[in-house]
Amino acid sequence: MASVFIFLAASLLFIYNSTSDPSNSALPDSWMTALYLTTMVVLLVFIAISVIRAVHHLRSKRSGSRFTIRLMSAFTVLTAAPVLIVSYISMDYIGTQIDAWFDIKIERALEDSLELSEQSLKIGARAHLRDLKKTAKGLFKLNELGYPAYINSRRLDSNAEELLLLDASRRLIAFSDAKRNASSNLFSNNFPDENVFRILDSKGFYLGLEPDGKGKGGINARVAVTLQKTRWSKKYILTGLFPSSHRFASLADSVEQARGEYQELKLKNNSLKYGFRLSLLLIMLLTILFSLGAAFIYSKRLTQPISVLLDGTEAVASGDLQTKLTVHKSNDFAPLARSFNTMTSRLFDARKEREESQLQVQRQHDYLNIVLDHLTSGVITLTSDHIVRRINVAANDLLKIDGKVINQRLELAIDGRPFFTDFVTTILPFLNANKKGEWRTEVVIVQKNRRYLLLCRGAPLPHLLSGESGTVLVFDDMTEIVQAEHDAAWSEVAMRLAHEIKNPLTPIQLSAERLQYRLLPELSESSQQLLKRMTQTITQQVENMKTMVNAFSDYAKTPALHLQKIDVNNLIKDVVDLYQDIEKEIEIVLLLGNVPVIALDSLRMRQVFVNIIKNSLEAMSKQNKKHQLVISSELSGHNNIIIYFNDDGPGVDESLIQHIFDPYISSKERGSGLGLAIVKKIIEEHSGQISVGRSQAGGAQFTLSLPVTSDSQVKELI
Amino acid sequence: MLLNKLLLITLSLSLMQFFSLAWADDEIVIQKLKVTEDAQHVYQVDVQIDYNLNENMKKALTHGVKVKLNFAVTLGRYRTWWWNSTRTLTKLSYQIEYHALSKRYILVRMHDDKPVKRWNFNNLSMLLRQVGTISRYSLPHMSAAVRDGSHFLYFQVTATAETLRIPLRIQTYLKGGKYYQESEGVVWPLG
Repeated sequence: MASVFIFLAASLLFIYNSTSDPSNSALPDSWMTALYLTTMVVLLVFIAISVIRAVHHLRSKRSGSRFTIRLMSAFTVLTAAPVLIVSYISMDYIGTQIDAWFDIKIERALEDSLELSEQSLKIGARAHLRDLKKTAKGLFKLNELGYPAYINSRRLDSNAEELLLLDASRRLIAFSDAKRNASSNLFSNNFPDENVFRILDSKGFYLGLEPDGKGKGGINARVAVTLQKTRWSKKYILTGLFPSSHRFASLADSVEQARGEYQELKLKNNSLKYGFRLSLLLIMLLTILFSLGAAFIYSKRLTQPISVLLDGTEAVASGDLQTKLTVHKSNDFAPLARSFNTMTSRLFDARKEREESQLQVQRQHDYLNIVLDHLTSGVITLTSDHIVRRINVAANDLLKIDGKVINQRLELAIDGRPFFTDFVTTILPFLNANKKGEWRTEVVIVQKNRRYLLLCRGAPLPHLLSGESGTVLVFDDMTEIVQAEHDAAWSEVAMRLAHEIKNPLTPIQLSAERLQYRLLPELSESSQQLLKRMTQTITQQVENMKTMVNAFSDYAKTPALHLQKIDVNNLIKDVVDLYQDIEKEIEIVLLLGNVPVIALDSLRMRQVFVNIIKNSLEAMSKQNKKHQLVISSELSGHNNIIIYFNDDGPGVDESLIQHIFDPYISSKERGSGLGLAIVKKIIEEHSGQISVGRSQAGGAQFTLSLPVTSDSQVKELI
Repeated sequence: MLLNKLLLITLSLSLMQFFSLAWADDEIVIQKLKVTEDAQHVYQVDVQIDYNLNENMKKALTHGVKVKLNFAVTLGRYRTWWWNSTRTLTKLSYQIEYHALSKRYILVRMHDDKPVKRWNFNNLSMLLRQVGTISRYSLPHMSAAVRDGSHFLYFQVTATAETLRIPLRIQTYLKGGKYYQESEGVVWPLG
């Protein structure tokens, strides 16, 4: 840009000088025009690119683009308007200036001077013509042989450049030349042309001016005469070339030169105007383009700090707080950029702290979730509107619901969830009644012939920042604990009963036998029979009581398990073999799946299978028809082996199902009622579970679940 | 209707003829050209040129502007795959001046932009006739290779108002050669 500016200034100065003084009209050469055009093209390209870029920025709504275009427009108008006015005035001024070079008086004076010079020269030429005529007369006195010498002497006398004597056919007869000797037969450069002969023919003499052949402004006078001694004699032409005096020639040449230069300038008058105006137009265009280019550059420079600041602001608005503006000390916007950087730094720090706090809260939340999810107690948090906010894994399992109740009202979440319905129905009055205090209650739920006991506690939650309050429910499944306490009580009772009853049985039996032994000989036949019968009854009842007491004892005992690696399927087959053909009407079907070997006490598990199969067979044998007992085993997931005993017998009475595994509960007429209680006890000793229900065939279904033990666990247990 | 059409056609043809003639009057034309080879294998040129200078050139002359005439001979070689190669062989330069004091036209033979010889003529047409006749002009020696059939000589004549400075040149560029004239080129095959 600086070079373009210098170029423009130089061009303007040049035009000023050229128009001020015609002698300086060495107008810009073609290289200057080429330079003008090249500079113009470069500026045009630069401006076009700048405009396209500015419009593109405006369309893409880039920050500061509108401001830049406004500045560019303002600069353009402010620079173009004065340039146009000045250019218009300058163009008119140039025309006036160039016209001032030409003055009609000067032109006439020059023409007059030229004519004066011509006339002066012709006066001299006339004198030469008179001399030439004298020479011609002299020739008449000589014969042709004396012509060359005479002509030579006359040339020297008259200071002629050359003298030529030609005959009528323009053949050279004699000549004398200042540069050549007389014998030379070459045509002179200055051989008279056709015009000379034509005038000689008409007028008999010729007088004219000719520039000399040296090109140094010298001028000669050409004079010629026709000579004929008599009317019938030969006709000759004598012509001579006489140089003008050096001073005279110099003056004449000066006039010639001045007139020539003036005429040349006059010829160029319009062209000069045209050229200067064209040059000025080019300079004006260049100036406008230069102004535009400069306007674009400076607009961009002016708006750049603001654009950068706006870009930074947009970056901050879009979340990029690490944006830093470059601070130039020499820039007026430096304090602003520094303040911006300080602001973004503080914002960044604040956001970082907030993110760390959020992370901390999230960690605490995760921590709480993990704790809650690994609690065996069920936990549910509710809002004051009974909307479920959180429910842990244990609560899901205990209440047999999935997590989809979150953000639902308790009252609305119970649909299709019978267990949850019973739970909610029980606790809802407590929730409504104790919104600000703690409470606890037992929830008894009977589902699918099983009784569950949950101990539920409620406590109000503190108010959150959002103003929300609510209740936390914590509940535990007490079913197993109560059952265990129940079983323990039964064991204690059984053990005490066995101990208290068993002790007197032997003396009673011995006393009865002694009574029979002592009294039998002393009694009559009939009395003996009565005594024997009574004694037998006592002995038999004592035996029965012993059996019963032993059963109690067995139930109460908790002998250590002798675990071994057992294939459950083989154990089942062994037991089934014992009963396979006992009842011909009953078919035992085995559908045993592929199950792993687990650690079991084989004797006690055999007792379990015997008890269940025996119970089933006894129940089915009461009906005189074909029956089927299907025993199947399968692996449930990788954790449990499930064994099903399905018969098509009469099944278990609904009223007994809940208590079937309690001692002294039996549907049989005979029996201690401890069989299934012992079965349950053995299964639980193996960490398993047993349940009873109705089979698809309408009979009873016993389901055993035994945990799968890994090899390492098996080794550890064994 | 038919008469109108015929009239229009006649008028158009007349105008075309007039403009073609008018245009031809302002042209520099190489009328005759002959290239001969002497016993020393030197090429000699005989040429007749009609220097029909336009009015602007003539006016420039009488206003003190010198007009430069150039008769350029170029040696070229045909190339089928690229533009023909050319080399300026020789240039015959003259300068015409008007001497207002004597009202005569001066013809100056130029060599390397320096005057070599001067003649003066009573009128321009005589001068142009004289300068337009070139007889037995010997071209510089050329190797025998130029006679292989692929070489040619190219002749062209130009007339330029010599002292023109930039404004007139700009006019020349913009207004179509008022102060510059050139003839059609003539090709003379060699070999």
